[in-house]
Amino acid sequence: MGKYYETSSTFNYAWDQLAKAFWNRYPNPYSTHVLSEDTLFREVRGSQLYSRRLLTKTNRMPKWGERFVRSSNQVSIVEESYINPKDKTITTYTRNIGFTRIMSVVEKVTYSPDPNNPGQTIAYRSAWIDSNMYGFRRAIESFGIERFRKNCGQAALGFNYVLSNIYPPKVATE
Amino acid sequence: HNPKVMDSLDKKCNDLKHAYDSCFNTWFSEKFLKSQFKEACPCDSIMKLYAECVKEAMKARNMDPVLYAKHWEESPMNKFGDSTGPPGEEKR
Repeated sequence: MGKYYETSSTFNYAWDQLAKAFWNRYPNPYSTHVLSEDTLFREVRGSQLYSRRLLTKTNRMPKWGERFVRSSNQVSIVEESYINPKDKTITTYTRNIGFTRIMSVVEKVTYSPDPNNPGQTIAYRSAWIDSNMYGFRRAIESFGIERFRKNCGQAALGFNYVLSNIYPPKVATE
Repeated sequence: HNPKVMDSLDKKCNDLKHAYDSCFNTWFSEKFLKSQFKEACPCDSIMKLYAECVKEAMKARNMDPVLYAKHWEESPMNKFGDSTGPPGEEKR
């Protein structure tokens, strides 16, 4: 069970440029809900870099959801990623720890060069959203999908903001 | 608190985190992305101290290290069906 969602966004930057900025995508004005970021583990496996990171975020819930999370307004996220500079792929798997009975969100994002335009990078984003709250499952899953949809937009805006700071747009000069 | 960089889970790990991040970022863009990963990452010794600090911070917050160390493949929530990992991933 659960709900599935997928979307994609295109960045106007080559994969190599995007990869260089990847670890600096927070903070940005669209990520104010991200409170902390830590690297828990990292190693090179073959030609890939595997990283496991811990992020904490404010847990934005609707009013009716507050009854389920009285104790804490923070949620922990584990982000695992593989970066392959030869294939030019970045794959991330993200999941929340805690509150998983109320709602679990498991997200996969793949960044790879646009096959039709090497100057662009496409991010494919997919997610499973599940709730085990008897009687509230459908409401929570629908809320989760809606929130996820909004967050995808924010994530793209935030990353673009960081990219445009690192690589200022070229101004045409005569 | 520096608004230009992310904080660690615990402020007392911030100095180690920022030292590690800056060491790692240099290695990542100057060596790793150019596929020069024959030599070991020079940031491992800082990483060790930093990881120790975060481990303590997690412990103080009753965060179960086992839950956080689990690999996504082992997660019961993994529904992406790509249990062999992304392309190029070696079976471990």
